[in-house]
Amino acid sequence: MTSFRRELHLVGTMADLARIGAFIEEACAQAHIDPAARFDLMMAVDEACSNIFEHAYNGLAGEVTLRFETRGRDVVITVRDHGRAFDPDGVPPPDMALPLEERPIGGLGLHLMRQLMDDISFTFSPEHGNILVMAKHGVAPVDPPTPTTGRRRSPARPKP
Amino acid sequence: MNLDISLYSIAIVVVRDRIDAFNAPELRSRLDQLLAEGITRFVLDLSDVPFLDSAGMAVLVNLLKRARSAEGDVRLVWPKREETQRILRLTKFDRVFKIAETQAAALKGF
Repeated sequence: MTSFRRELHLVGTMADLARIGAFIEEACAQAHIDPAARFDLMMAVDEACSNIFEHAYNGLAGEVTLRFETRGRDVVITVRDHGRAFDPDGVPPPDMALPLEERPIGGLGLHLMRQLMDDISFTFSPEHGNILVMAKHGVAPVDPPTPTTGRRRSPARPKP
Repeated sequence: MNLDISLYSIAIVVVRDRIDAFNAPELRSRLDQLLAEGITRFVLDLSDVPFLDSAGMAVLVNLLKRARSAEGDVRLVWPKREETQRILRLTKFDRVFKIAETQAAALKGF
């Protein structure tokens, strides 16, 4: 099974969100990720990094490492930072039943990440900082074409 | 001569960049300026917006709240990019904002 991995390491701020989006878009294209899923991955990573720059680093420049990889047919994205510990349980979920104009602004980013990705986990340790792992299932090709041939293969039949 | 003349100020704001947490404050500041000038009706044309995150959405909701509290309203023009449209539906923006296919259609409602 061919796997694919790309990493981006930067010391950045919100001004780097477009660059981060371009990195995910390019990795998706290179890994032949299902086009319908690419935007979801870009969006989830954008929201994750916005939260890091705003809350973990309080708007100051901070170190972020992004890893984009395929594991079988899944895309797994790992985002690491060394800012303030993030506690997802401390973020109240937006009350989606309330009319939008009555909802408090905020909390939507984390909600979107959970909506767009299949698995999401946050861990923090003083040694390694915040580690966010997000996965989206079944969006990578079964057997990516090799760069030498560029040959596309038919997708495998979905598992029952 | 018996004349009945009404003048309405409607701001048509065409956004052509991604709206993310970096540039959302700039958009908000420009919209705040318009509100401060007394404009309460807005058409935000998002047709060329390739990407919109929750910070951008917060700007739109904030504008809607403030415009409506001043008896105004906000109409949107759908982004051309299908994925961006899907995010607006996922967050139920299409139930709160009137979203039109074109600027002309958005203006018709006012």
